[in-house]
Amino acid sequence: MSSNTEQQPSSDSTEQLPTDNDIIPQQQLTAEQLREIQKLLMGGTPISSENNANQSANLPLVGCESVECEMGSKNKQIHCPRCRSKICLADTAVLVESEMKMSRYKVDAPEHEIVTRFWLLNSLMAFENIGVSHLVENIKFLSCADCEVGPIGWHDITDKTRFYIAAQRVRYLE
Amino acid sequence: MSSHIGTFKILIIGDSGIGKSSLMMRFVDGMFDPEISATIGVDFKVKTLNVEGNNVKLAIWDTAGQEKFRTLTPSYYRGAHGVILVYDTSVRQTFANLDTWRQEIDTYITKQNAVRMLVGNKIDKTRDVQREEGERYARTHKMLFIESSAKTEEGVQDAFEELVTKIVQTPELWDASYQSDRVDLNRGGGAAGGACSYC
Repeated sequence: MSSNTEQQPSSDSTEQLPTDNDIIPQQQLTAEQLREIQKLLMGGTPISSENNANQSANLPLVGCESVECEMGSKNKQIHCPRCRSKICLADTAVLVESEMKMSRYKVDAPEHEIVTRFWLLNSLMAFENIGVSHLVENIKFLSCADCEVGPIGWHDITDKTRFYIAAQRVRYLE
Repeated sequence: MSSHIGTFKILIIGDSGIGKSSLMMRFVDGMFDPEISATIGVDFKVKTLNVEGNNVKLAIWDTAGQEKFRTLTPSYYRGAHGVILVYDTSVRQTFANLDTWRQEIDTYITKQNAVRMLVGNKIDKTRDVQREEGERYARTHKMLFIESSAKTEEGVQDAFEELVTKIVQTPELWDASYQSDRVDLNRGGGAAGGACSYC
């Protein structure tokens, strides 16, 4: 598509007013698909057993201590620790050692802690669902895209190929 | 395994204080300590969804904090497939400012058939802009239209539903737009590559 701005639709034209069908698009998707979109986009009701949006409501999720977490190993499918939203698929990250001071992500945790083990992804688009915070110095913190619990990871904007998820702050598909 | 048909870049644009950020948020009731998330505001999200058997990734940009410069950087608009233009139905000035935002969109957007949606937000508050006015404006400028209250969550889901559905139904918009797999989070900078559809 050309970026020639002269070809933009004339916004003041009264000759080609859109019909109601243009304003209100015809819903060609099935109701189920729309529900799925809705749930995924808006976070939906991840705890509900009806949630088949990311099909994670009934999946057996375990903590970091229950999965193989050796440096250099690939990940199992990663989920939000609270709402179970799917964060990334299996084998999209590698466990690495790094160091980041992160504020607490749940009420009964210390206000800050030094986190040292992270799953490293090389692209933001490698995630299935992720939220990215405003800039704090050079760091953008990562959160769940659906319930926004966080920080569950971080990204230094001076290295655009490294996105870190704190291994102990997420859950895993067994 | 579903096939991946593309990544859609969606912008949320409008004056400060009209609830843009809350449009992209959804708190899970009863599970959430707002004090914790309040420490970091989220202004960008990646969401994956399945439409007609195809996986679609959405890169949703919230312009919060940027609009104080009044004009967003052109790179913000580059490659956007959908734009959600928001006003506050309880503050007429935010409706009056729509022309400015719309002109900015038309100036900088690189995909001319990007889907535009007008959202009148905060209908839970005392109304200063009638629904009919919003509808008329959207019709005149060929935008989808919806009213919402992020507070009561009314209409917020519908807004995204409609927008994504419309984008999916406009294949020429995304047909060849999924080659790149990179997001430049430093959007103020000039590092964005021309082929990158969501930076």
